[in-house]
Amino acid sequence: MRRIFVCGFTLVLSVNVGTVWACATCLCGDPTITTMGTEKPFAGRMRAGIEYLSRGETVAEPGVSELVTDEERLTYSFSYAISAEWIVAASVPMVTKQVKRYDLSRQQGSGIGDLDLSARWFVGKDESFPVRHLWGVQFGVRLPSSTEQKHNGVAIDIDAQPGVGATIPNLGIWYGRYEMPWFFYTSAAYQHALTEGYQGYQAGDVFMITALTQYALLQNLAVQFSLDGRFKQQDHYNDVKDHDSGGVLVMATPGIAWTPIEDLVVNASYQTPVIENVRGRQVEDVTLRVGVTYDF
Amino acid sequence: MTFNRCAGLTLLVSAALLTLAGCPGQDQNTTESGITVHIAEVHLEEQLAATAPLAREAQSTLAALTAPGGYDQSNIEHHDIVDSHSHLLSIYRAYSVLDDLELIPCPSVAQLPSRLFNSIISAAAAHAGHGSEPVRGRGLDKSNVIDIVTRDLYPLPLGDRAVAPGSYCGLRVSLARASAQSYGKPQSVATSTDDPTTLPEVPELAGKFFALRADYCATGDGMGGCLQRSKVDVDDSNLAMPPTLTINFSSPLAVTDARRSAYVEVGIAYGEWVQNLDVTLLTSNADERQKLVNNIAGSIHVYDKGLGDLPVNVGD
Repeated sequence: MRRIFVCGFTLVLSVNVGTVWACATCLCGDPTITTMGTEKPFAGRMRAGIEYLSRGETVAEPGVSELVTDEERLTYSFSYAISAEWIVAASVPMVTKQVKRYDLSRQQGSGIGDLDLSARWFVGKDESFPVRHLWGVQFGVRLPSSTEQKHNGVAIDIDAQPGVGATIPNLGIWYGRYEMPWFFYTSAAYQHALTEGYQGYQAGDVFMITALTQYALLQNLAVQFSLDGRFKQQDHYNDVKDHDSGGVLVMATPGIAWTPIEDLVVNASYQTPVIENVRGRQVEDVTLRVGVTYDF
Repeated sequence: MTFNRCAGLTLLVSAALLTLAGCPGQDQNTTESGITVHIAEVHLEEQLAATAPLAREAQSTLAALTAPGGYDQSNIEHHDIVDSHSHLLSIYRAYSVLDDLELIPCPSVAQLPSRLFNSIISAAAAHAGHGSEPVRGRGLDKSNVIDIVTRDLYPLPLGDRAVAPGSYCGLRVSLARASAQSYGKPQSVATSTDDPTTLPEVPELAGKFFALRADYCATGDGMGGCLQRSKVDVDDSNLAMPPTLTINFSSPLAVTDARRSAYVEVGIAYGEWVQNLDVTLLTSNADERQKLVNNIAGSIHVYDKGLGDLPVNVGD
């Protein structure tokens, strides 16, 4: 927890955020909101961002097979609008994961996670000026760019690996409505792993849906609220089903976005589960995020 | 523009500072062992006290002669046990297959719901890849073939089981049908055709939970010698598998954060295999073979347990 404040405070002091957040780790939420923003871009716009995230989860049966995971990640992202219709983005996380098991064993893995590449296509808009409706398609791929972390030559367990080491593409649609001081955004995406990850990990397919609303209290300060849903098939390990995976998770995410100076946005959010209809036992802790983006 | 550049520079410098400050992704990989219970098997001949001395006396005479019809007793390593009719059964090959070795937590009111759940859902399947660690080429994730005709009282490590801190009051174990992946499954070898047989068959164990190759003296000469031996080559074909066994410890085994290592030795008292049965009927009578199966299940005990590592094998 100490590091949450150290890193978070440093971030807040250093720079700023637009409409930022999502759940790149647990795949609950739309990560492109953070990396690309939601507004219609102009050609040549660049955005750099840093986001600190802290989350945790507890799975499986207490005293029998329980596994508690604590994760911290610092995600560096960069996006570029190659035209008024296309934005491409890349993000890479630096991750530390700690796992504590029912037998009191512990493992910590730390390093660079998997690289995310994504693109957003602005397919349509209404005829009004300024534009009030935008919609389009987004797609991306998570590449197995991470290195399987080891300790004394032995691979750290998959649950504590910074990346999963699999190729996981996704495809989705999105819609944005702009009614100052309100803003609404929703997206839905489907994700399917093409390859196995480390240690025989076979990620289940995921359907993600996000519904975000933002209200601008001031010219440079907005409050946000989002519902992020994740519908996930069960994972497998070497074709053995993980009974404590998959199901439905919906998280409510209140947050703020503050623009202290032009083009610099600081975001903070608190994501808490509101619906957990999961298989086996999975208890998702709250997720804290502090992020900064800067447009060039 | 100048201001923007300044802000951008600030962003990049901050990122660098965060990285250097030891933020996520910059930590050491670490591993800390948890609580481990080492599980091993030992087998031993536990003869019935009343019959063993007489049978051993007879055996010393019989061993001097090699009779036809059986195995080449004088030249092949074998273990001898005595049935309830004082027949001396010489065992040349004997295998049983163990699986599902799980420690049973002592009853706790607070943990009753999860214990109940655990009795329905196998812990091993709860999160693949955790729960047991292989030891010396064996593990607890698959069944283990036990070769009874190896040295008595030699602890054979079967694998390490990760358990939660607490007290454990017993052990669950099943006889199981071997598969091609079972640990310790021997390569099958055909028997020789000479008489007496000099090379007993190593049976194909896939699909079986026990197999026995043995013989006894079917016809004596009245003076302590044997004129004719008879083979007892049986396995579990068409026999019912015994249910999972629950073996209670004499006292709880308590493991804690401070005492993270313990061991349990599963004993197979193969001398009990022929209790209350007549070995001369084993090949012909399915009921007698079913008794043998039940005796095999009943011969499984907890031989020893304690804190710390497994007792060291003599000669290791």
